[in-house]
Amino acid sequence: MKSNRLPLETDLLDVLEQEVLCASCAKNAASIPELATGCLSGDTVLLVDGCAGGLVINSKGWEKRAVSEPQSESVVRGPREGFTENLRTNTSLIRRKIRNGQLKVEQMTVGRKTQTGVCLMYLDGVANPKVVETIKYRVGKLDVESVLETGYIEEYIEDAPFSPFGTIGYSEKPDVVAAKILEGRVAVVVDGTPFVLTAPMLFAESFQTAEDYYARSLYSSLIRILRFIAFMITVFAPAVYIALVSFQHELIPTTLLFSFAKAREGTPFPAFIEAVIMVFAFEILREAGVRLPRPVGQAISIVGALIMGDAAVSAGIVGAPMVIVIAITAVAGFLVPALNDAGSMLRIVMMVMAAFIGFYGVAFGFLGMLVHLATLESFGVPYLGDFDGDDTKDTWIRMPLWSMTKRPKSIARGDTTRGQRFIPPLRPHVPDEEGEEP
Amino acid sequence: MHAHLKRMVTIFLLLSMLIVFLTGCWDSRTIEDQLILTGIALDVADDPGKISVTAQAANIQQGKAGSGETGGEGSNESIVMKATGDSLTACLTELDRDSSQKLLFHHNQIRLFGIELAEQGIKKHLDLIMRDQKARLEVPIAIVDGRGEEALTAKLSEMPLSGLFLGNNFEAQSAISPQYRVRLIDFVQRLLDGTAAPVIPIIKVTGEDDKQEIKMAGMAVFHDDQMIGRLTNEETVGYILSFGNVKKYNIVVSDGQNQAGLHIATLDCKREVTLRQDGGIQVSLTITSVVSVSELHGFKEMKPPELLKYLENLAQEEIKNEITDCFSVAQTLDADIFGFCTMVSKKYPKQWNEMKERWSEVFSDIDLSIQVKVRIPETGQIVQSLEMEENMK
Amino acid sequence: MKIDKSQISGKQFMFMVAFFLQSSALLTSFLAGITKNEAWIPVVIDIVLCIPLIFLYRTLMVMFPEKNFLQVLDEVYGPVVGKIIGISYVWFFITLAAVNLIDIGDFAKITFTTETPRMVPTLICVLVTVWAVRHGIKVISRYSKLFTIIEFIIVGVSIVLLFNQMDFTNLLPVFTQPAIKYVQSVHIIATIPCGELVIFLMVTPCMKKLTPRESTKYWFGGVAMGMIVLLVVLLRDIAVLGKALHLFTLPGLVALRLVNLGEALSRMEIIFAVALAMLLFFKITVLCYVSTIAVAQLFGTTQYKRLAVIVGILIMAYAPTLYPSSVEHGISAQTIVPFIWTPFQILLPLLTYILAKIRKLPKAITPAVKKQEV
Repeated sequence: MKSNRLPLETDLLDVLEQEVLCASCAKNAASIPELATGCLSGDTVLLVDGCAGGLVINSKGWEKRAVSEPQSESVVRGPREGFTENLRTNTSLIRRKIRNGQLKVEQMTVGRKTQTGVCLMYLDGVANPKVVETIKYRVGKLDVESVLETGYIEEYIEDAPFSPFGTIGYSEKPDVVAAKILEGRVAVVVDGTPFVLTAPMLFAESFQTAEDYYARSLYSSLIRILRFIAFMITVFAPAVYIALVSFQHELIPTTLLFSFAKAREGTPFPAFIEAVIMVFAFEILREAGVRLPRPVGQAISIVGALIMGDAAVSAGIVGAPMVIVIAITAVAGFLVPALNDAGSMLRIVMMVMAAFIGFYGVAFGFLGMLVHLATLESFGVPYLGDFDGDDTKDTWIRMPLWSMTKRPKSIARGDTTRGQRFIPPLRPHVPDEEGEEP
Repeated sequence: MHAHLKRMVTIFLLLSMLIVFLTGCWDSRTIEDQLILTGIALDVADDPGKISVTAQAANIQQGKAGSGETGGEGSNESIVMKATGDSLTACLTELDRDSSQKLLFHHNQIRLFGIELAEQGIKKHLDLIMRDQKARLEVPIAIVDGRGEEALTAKLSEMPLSGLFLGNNFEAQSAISPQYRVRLIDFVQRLLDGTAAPVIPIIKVTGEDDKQEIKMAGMAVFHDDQMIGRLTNEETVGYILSFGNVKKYNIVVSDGQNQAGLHIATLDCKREVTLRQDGGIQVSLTITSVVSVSELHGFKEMKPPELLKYLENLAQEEIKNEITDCFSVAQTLDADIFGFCTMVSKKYPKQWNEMKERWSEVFSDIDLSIQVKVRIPETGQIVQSLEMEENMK
Repeated sequence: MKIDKSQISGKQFMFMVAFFLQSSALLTSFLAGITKNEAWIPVVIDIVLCIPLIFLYRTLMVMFPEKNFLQVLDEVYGPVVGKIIGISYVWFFITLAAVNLIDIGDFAKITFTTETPRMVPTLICVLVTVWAVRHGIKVISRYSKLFTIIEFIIVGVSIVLLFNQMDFTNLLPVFTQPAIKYVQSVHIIATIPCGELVIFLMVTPCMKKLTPRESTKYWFGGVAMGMIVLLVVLLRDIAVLGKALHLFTLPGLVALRLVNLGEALSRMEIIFAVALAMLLFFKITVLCYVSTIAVAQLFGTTQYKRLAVIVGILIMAYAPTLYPSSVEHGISAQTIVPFIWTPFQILLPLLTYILAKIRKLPKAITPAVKKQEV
């Protein structure tokens, strides 16, 4: 018999919970809905005759996908872990990257019918408390029937639902999310999807990938600039082509003009219609390439790109220059995957402006885009915030990590110092042969 | 939210309607509807007081569109159209009217004037070109010895579009000296100077039928906007040398029995103008040049070091003579083609005002002093010529 | 009351002033018309003469840090007279905006869209402008630094590309024209590019707190950058075009047309034209913003967002009625306009300053009043 006897008033359930059962996470639930929810979530419910209440014992053990390489973001250098559909796995993946007591995980449940678990993760003391409050408030206030993916939540809590630019970021890789949390952002993990939201998101983030930080800084800077240029190309190339061919013929060198004229001699449509047809065709091909089963998908992309394009030119539906322009546009668009949808929409707007009034229209389309970007805010942080002052170390170019000693001012509050100012020595420090320091 | 959405939709619809109605398509022109002009020539017409305009355009044939078949320039033939009228506007209207496509001026490569028209005066014909945004000021102009249309109808073996040919030709010449290619803006600047005489290159069409050629035939000298005389190709040399900035030009020097071909790598000319006591001016040109030897005929008795010195002297003499020759021709024509008056007006504005009136007499009385310094740093791959070889033995 | 609650920093302000002046570099024709190819002399003189003027503006800004200019007028002249002068300033701002709107319309018509009626590019510009104005000054100030730098790059590149066509002796004859022409030119430059800076006094409430020293630094820094670009552009045009300068309506563009770097790069002026149009757009946006705030101030409302649309349409309707043709526009810019602008830009601010000093304004602000202001 035990020496410390329980007092006689102790509930049988309590005894069971504390002394008998050796399962973690057993809860004494008092209402039927709680018991029902627990049951539906995979827990075991223990009801004892004569006791008011029941025990909800954690016994979740369903089939889940193993941690594998994420399909949407592949890297050459860097971790190849990706989130899975399990909330606990995901939070644990992040916890393993940030082994710090400041990392806070706040759990909520959203969705009336689906009762999906949602976790907010942030670094206490670094993240902006106002942003955390806002997100908690918005997620808490969600009154929806179902939440199947982070995209649902994103649409409900984002700042500018009608802007082509997203103000909440997402990622499938734990190292990316961990880096963002370390900068002061808040991550929203949702059970059932490997995509984790990060808020606030700024414009410069669309051009950053995880690999930028693992590769060498000079090369990363060049690639970063290339991405900006690619984005400009993908948005403006068809529009510029339309403007050149329809309005500003003087910009084209004379001999090129001859070949353009010859190419367009046989085509029936004005440049704008041609461009719209090609953009349309490209979007169809792209969508088809994603949906088709893998073995067939490869063939379609080759068939589509090469043969259809060539055949269209031979048949005289579109001109060869148009095909080239669209090809460049398409390929450039894939350099900045985060802005792919934004790019597609903006491309069409620019094309309309170009068809309307040539280069002037493109110029004002560009200005309109700039104005829109300047007015966007993501959870109180201006969308172009990274381009102010100090934070530009990570926007156009990627300065070496040792020079980025402060967290971005636009995001972080509180503890903003990452490290001491460190400049690598020009001559490496090598101890002498006798083991003494020089 | 609902009201806001409704409002946005209304705005969007309104804007779309505006776009449709206020379309800027008034400006939109498709390439294949345009006739790409490559050359334009003005001549006197048979009726006095009228001019005839000839325009040359590229004929884009309907070749096989598609991959593998890139139409080279060989398949471009030229279309030549002609119209007569009171002014350039009238002629252009007629040309427009009679063709199924609109004329595209932007790529015009050259403007030509027939020699008779040049003698009558071309200022009024330049007005349209300067006013119209589509016509460009940096297009070269030239005078044709004969009628302008000959140059445009010429069938050259090198290129079917003589306009393009001339454009490229002048471009290449301008690499030698900027004075070879006179753009409209240069001509206008000279005109505005008042007393300076503008100069425009002359071209001549020679040969027959399919084997025609266009050659440079010197320069035309203008007084204000009327042509009053010409310089031959040789006299032109002096003209361009006096402006300096000459690169990669060949001259031939000789001392009676021997000849040498010299390649001017660079030639710069510094001009200084000073007032004389008696109201005239003195101009001094200081020319420095780096020359290399390209061909030697003779010079049997010389050794290489003294040969170089000798050649330098010869070259100096030659350059000086060229410029002096040109200058005397200019004085005969009473045309300040060198732009000395501009220099005076910039340096001595006050005196210039009273000198303007009597510029003719000042010009004929100019004290011209020319100093030439030639340096020959290298002689090419061989040091001695074959003829000199014999002497060395 | 604060109409526009956004905040801009001193540096952003400096760049705004700079590119405001730089946009005027586009329209050098009225500068060159009087003194032809000695036009650079009045500009140099003006750089010196404008120093006291800019100092006056900066002092007014420092003296009344939380008030835009119309509020300052109210305070200095009393409610009735202040309001009357305020109304005339509203007219001034709106007219300035309208004149610049015509400029961009004309510019678009000459360069891009020769057949389309001038209304269309104007309408597009107004649409984007109104959209930008509705979101407050922070939109413009965010891009001020970027566009100033771009303008510097463009000017630098154009000079490099045109270098071999520049003839610096074109600058030469100096002081050959009657003195009155120089005086006239100096007057024109003092009012048309420089004096327009008075509108920045309407932006004062949005500025973060600045010490007087910082204020001086930012005002003069911006003006220096702007005037240097103006001078350089003018020098470039004179050097390239020489005597032909005064013939052209847009000498800057003609000079750029002559850029010739081989066949492919020989017709680049459209690219420059696009960049210049964008700069002019920013100038118009600042002017529209100032007009909107002034109207809002006059009617005592903080709802400037709705007013933006109305003011935009007003300016767009007003603009074509100003001049029957661009020739008259040019002549008026050289002869009449400097005289009309002078009271608004020089005399009234000076008078305001003197009166304020005499009446020992601004009064010290008590905490109660300050709370009410916010």
